[in-house]
Parts: sequence; structure tokens; C-alpha cells
Amino acid sequence: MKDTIPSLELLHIEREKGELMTYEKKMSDISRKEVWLLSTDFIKSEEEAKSILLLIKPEEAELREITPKFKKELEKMISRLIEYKEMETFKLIFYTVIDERLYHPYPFVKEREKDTELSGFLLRTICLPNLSVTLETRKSINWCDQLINTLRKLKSTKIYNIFSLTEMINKLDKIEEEAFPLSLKKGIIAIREHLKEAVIKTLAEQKNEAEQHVERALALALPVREILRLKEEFDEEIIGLEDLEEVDRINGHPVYSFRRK
Amino acid sequence: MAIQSIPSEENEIVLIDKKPRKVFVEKRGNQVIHYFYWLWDLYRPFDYEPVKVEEINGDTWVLTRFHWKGLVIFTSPRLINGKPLLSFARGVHTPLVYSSNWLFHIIFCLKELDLEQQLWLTVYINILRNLSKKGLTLNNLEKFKGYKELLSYDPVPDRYKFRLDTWDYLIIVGKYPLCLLKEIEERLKACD
Repeated sequence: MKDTIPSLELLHIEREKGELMTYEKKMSDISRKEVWLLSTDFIKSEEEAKSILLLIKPEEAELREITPKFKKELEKMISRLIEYKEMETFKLIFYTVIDERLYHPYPFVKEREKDTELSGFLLRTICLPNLSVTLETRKSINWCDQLINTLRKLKSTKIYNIFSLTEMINKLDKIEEEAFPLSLKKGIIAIREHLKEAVIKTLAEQKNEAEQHVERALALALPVREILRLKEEFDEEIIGLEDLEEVDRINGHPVYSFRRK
Repeated sequence: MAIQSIPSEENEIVLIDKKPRKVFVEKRGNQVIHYFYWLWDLYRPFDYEPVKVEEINGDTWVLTRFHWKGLVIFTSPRLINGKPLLSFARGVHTPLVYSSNWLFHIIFCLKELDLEQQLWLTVYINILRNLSKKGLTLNNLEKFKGYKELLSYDPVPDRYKFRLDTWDYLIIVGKYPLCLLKEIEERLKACD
């Protein structure tokens, strides 16, 4: 079986071409068992560890020396991925970088067993080209990460589970009450309303329309999450567009800036 | 207004502290645009972040794009050896130019932006506001380097090309300008 596993070097060459379709074809050729082998057995040398890191986080790979200690950290990271209990944390981070065009084509994506989810996940995360996000676990996963994760799953599997939608709607009802600033509140309300529409369309068996509402909700959830992330990072009040005020005019057009205390 | 497009296409037009995959060079008349290219941003593949540097009446301006719909002009960039310092937001690679002044002004071309655009703009103004309040220290100037080895003269796909005359909102970061570039003025005249 080993002969059929694309070597990391090959994956790297594929990546260099920047041809997404070529890459997808290669991905779909890999069987689940091969992915397992790749995931559990692949770190044999520092060189390989470095190649993997290049695939996951190229910027750091260039900066950081591959020491035995670092290799051990990397192995630990992979073994944590393999323990299912840790999966959700990692998945939520990586789902943010996975475009549906890459997510969808895998033949096992609709299967529910944890090992296939894990295989698919490892395939996408370890082999996907040039992931530039920071690989880190988060202590807490906020509701918006969960929302985006669920919406991405709905979008890719096309299986519309009414209960998961209504559960999200209830959650958004509670969050909306305390949301601030106004643009964030409007975003949350709009997401909720799109999900309500998705429920109605699903019940009416209008799948295409339901899909459009889920897509719209997802498009809005992405900037909402960024706003929440900034709120957490800056540890201060977030301003909205409603906080801007007119300070000048150019050719009759108002010029806005934020109120300065 | 004296306008002079900065360096020849052979040179770097800014200094950067992160390394993109490639930097595509587009020469349009006497104008030069550099596209800092990654295979992925957080949400989609093929990420081209355009940057253009202009000399306007002795001042250096850096022009870039935010989330497809916004044109951003940094009018007070900090310079090293005459070149602005450019960084990129983590994940999405939005270009951020280190400025001596982070005050921003926004002009909308549309009467109303759609909600998704409003939310992305909210993200951006909060980044700028935070920079203006807390300032930014450049601890390690050695991190900023040229990128000659990344330059590519292959064509940039049309849909990613940088246009100064098709924006929905204009953000000016830094010193408020006395006048705008001709293409921007024309876009402003054509607004709702």
C-alpha cells in the first residue's frame, strides 16, 4: 500500500503548481486506509516533520528550527488529533480555511463514523496547500465558531437537519438580545432569519431555496466571527458604522470618521 | 497635482514582514501595481492583495483594496529607505501599512452597503481604531525586507486586478488629503 501513498515531496510539488483541480484529483485518489497510514506513521525524520509543517504552516517552518524537541511537539499534536476527544477543537480552526470546493469532493464526507471524519479531516488539514492560519488549540470555542462549523457541514453534506437549525435559531435569539454594536446585532438577526427561512423551505421540500439561505447565513457569520474575535483580542468596546459621524464633504459627498472623545 | 508612480517594475515598492507565495507585477502605462499572492486566505483560494505606491506632491501614498469593495489609501506611511512598511492581517492577509497617523475617513459611493459589506467594514474600522488608540511599535525593523526573489511578471487574472475607479467605499488612513487622484475623483462624481 505504501507505494500508492503520495509522498510528501509529491504533495509539495503539486502545491507548487497552484492548480487546485489537479490537487483535488490527487486527494480523491487517496483511500481512507492510506490516510490513516499517512497520519499515524509519517513522521520518521526531521526532514519529514519539516515538510509537514511546511504544508500546515509554511511561514513558521521557515523561521523555526526543527529540533528533536519540536519534532516531539509535532508528533504530540498529531496524536492529539487522532484522539477523537480533541478533534472538535482542531476541526473548528481548520474548517475556517476549508473551501467547500475542496471539502465536497471527498467520497467519504457524508459518512458519520468518527474514523472517516478523522481521515477526511487529516487529509484536508495536513495535505491542503499553504494553510496560513496559526495552528493552535483554543481554550474556549465560542458560539460563532460552532455556528460556522454547523453551517459548513450543512452546506457540504446538503443534509438539512431541522433540529440543528432550530437549535441554532434558539441560541441566536438569546445572543441577539445582548449583541452590540448595532451592525453586529443586525448581522445576528439576519443570520437567524435566514435560518428560519431555511427551516421553512426545508419543510416545504424546497431544497435549493433552503441551501441559498444557509449560504447567506454563512456569508454573514464569517464577518460576525471576526468582529467577536476583535472584541476578545482588543478587550474593549467595538464600534459600529452607526458610531461614525460626518466630518466633511468632498464634491457633495459626506466624509465620515469616528467620534473622538 | 504632481503625480509620480514610484519605482520601476524591477524593484520592490514596499518592505514586507511576511512572505507571500509570489508577488505579481502589473505594469499599466507608467503605473506599477504589485499583487501579494497567497494560495489561500481564511475563506477562499487564490488571494491577490494589490498594492500601489504613488508620490503625490512630495508625499508618499500607498493604495490598496479591502474585501473587494473598498479602496484604501494610506496617506501617512512610515518609511525606511524611502519605502513604506507593509504588513498583512493574519489569515486574510489584508494589507496594513504602518502609519504615523491612523485617523481614518470614509466616503461611501453607494447610499447603502449590503449587510455583509457593513459587517466587514465594521471589522476594518475597529482594527484601525485600535491602532490609532494604542499605536503600534515596530520592535524589530529587521523583519521588514524586500522581496525581489518573489517577483513574477506572469499576468494577473482580470477579476483580481486593482481598479481605482470601481469601489463602493473609500477609506483614507492618515493625513486627510487636500485633493484626490483623478480616477478616484471621477468615481466620486459617478456615485449615487
